[in-house]
Order: sequence, then structure tokens, then C-alpha cells
Amino acid sequence: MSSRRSRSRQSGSSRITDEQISDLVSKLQDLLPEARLRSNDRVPSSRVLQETCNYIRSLHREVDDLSERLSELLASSDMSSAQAAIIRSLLM
Amino acid sequence: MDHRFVVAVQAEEDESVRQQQQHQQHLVRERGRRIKAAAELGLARSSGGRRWGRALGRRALLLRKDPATTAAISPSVGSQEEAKQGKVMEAEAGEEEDEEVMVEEKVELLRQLVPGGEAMAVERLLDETADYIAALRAQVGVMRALACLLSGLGSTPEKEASATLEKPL
Repeated sequence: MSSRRSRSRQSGSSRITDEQISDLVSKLQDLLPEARLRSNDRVPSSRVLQETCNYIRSLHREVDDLSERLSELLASSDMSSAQAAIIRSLLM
Repeated sequence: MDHRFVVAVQAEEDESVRQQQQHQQHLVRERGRRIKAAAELGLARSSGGRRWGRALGRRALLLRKDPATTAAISPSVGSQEEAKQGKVMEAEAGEEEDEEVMVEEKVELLRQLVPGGEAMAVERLLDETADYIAALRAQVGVMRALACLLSGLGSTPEKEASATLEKPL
């Protein structure tokens, strides 16, 4: 066993095996939208993890864009205070 | 009327309009930031006690108090993330064939993306990631629906809009 492997895999009292990581990673693979990964081929864990990172980043960007869009819509909309209260309760 | 006088007044009016526009844009951006902080707080509260939820909640409260910390701690600033990724990849470029090393690299990237990820063991990080992704998707769904609803409000008369929202359940 290389020293790098034992250092990096320690997690408190138990050591996680490569197999356990593969299992967890394949569960992540199921969460990714189909366009990102063809799941019929065997995909290396590193690739699944990279796609997971890309997916999370794109979700973050979408939240940023939607926040801006909502801000503009709120600026231009003609709304009563009752309607504003409903919107607020949906967000919180 | 004196021509120079008219030109001077026009220039002042133009400048005033420009300043108003800038101010408006600033207000819109500020509101966008507050909306995002509120959405993150909502997301954190719906996490059911998950670690990523608690970490996100702490961060969202910080953002609310002091917008100046946004640049320092927000992970969703695209250029910061890409710069970090660039550094990690440069360091490990010589060992690209080693799958194990690649996995390590990608795990590190993931740590930076999932709130609280830096403090977690790998197996927990992967578990939290799955939950975090599901919650992010739900958040995006709610925000999209809200945006649809609001853009509908903008184009219909006030009466119709209020009738739609306040319909008894």
C-alpha cells in the first residue's frame, strides 16, 4: 500500500476502501441528469465526480440568474401588499 | 432663450437620468443579493438538520448581516472556483493516468462546492452531496415557478392578478 493512499483514506477510526468509494460514487451517478453521463458504459469515479461538480456549479449559476430575474420582476411588477406577503411566505 | 443655457440644462438632465439609472441598477442588484440570501436560508432550513444545511445556514446569515463578506465566502462566484480548480490541476498534471489521484482531486473540488464539505470525511461528503443536489434542484424549481408567476402578474391587469393569488384554497 502506498503511503499516499493510507494518508488520504483515513477517516477517524475507520479506513474507507476504494470499493466503498466506488459504491458511493455510483449512487451519485444516478442523480446526474442523463445528458451528462451515459450510464450504460462503465464510467470511472473521477469522471462521475467531475460531472457532479459541474452540475452543482450549473445549479448555483441558475440560482444566481433566477435571483437576479426575480429582483427585476419585483421591481417592475405592480403588486398589492397582500400579494407581496404571499410571495414572501413562499420564499422563507 | 439663450442656446448655451438650453444645452447646459439638457446636460444636467441627462446626467441626472444616468445617475437614476445607475441607482436603479444598484437597487436591483442589491435586491437580487437579498433574494439569493433568503433562498439559501430557506434551502438550509429545509435540509432536515443535515450538515450542509447547517453550514449553509451559517453562511446565509453572515451574508445577510454584511454584504461585504459575499465576495470572500460565496462559493458561487464562477471565476474563484475556476481559478482554484486550475491550481489543483496544474499541481497534479504529471499524474493524470493515476485514477486514484484523479478521484482525490475531484473530491477536493467537491469539498469546496458543498457547504461544510471541507470538514467532512469522504464517505459523508458523498452522502451530503447527494442530498444537497436534490435540495438545490427543488430550490431552482420553486424560484422558476415564482418567476413564472411574477412575469404573469406583470402583463395582466391588477384585478385579475389579485384574484388569482388570493383565491380561497
